Amino acid sequence: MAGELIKKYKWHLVAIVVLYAAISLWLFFFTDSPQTVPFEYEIH
Amino acid sequence: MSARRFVEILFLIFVPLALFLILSELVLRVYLSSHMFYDVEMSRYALALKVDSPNPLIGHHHRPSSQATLMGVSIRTNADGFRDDEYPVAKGDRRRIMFLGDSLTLGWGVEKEQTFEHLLEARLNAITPTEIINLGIGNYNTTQELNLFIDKGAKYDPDQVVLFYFINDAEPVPQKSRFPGLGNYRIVTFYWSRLKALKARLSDSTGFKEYYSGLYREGSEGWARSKAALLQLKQLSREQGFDLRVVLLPEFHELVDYTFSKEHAIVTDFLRANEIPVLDLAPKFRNEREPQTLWVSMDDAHPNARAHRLIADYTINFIGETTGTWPAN
Repeated sequence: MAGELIKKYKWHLVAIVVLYAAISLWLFFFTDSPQTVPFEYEIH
Repeated sequence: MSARRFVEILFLIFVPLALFLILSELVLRVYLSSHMFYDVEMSRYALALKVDSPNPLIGHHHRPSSQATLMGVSIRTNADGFRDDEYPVAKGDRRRIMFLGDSLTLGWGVEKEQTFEHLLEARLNAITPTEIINLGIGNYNTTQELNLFIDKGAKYDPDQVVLFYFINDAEPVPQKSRFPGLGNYRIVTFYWSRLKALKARLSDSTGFKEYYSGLYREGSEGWARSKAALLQLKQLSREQGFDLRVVLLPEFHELVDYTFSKEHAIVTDFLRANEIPVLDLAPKFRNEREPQTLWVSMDDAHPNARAHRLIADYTINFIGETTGTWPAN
């Protein structure tokens, strides 16, 4: 069934992955500016 | 809706998402082999070098005798977890100074030989035999610095303790993040970091300015705890006979018209009222019109090697002014 779905929706899959990639690239460039948030102290 | 249609919808939601996450993780790992993101490096720091402390007032400390390359530089810890050489507990004939602080004192993003701790040790050594032990650990506040000193530093019986205070030292003890995957997956850290930056960019908030100023508002619990820790350190200095000094490190975003003058005044007034010698370094940097030239990287406002050298230049007299009376009998 998975093979059948991939075959049927392969261009949908490609389009959605490309959309996610475009959103990520936009986020990358849009927020690629000098640090404006406090030093992050939540991670340890 | 038929069962088949339901399966198709689930397929179109989750399969592209999984594909995207796998591909993005691979692309990011390749990209990050030659580039650095501050948040990714900090999450790597957490995984590589930080361990939980049994003392809740410390929260976390460094894994002893470990090494990791973070923000492009090697950080190696000694048997006590300090970013420093091994020192015998028994004091020799050298003046022994201990530096307390956070990631700035640790020398985040700066080679050990270029940290102000190392530079000051070398320069003070030219005056009188001196060793400086660096207790700086990333993400520490004053309470943690005090308690690390009590747990691991006091046994070294220092002649002098210098606490390098930074504007965010009045934060509460940090809590371990419960965000799943943070640190282990680059794509998770990337999205977590960039969405946080996006939120700051789109909001009316002034980001770090509002956040840091808020730490010193009337009734702030974090600042109250910092004051209590400073007073406890003062008490220890009397009991154990070491000289205690505090250096206020500047926040490196705006140095000409310094953003946190009011907050620095609050801290210096408190220290002077309690007879703790203090040096505020912010005015020393007021001619720095391009503060980013002092940053580790564009997304990381920690002081770089040049800033460390300036900190050493501006601090040496303050730290060394007791050298003339040493050794004390």
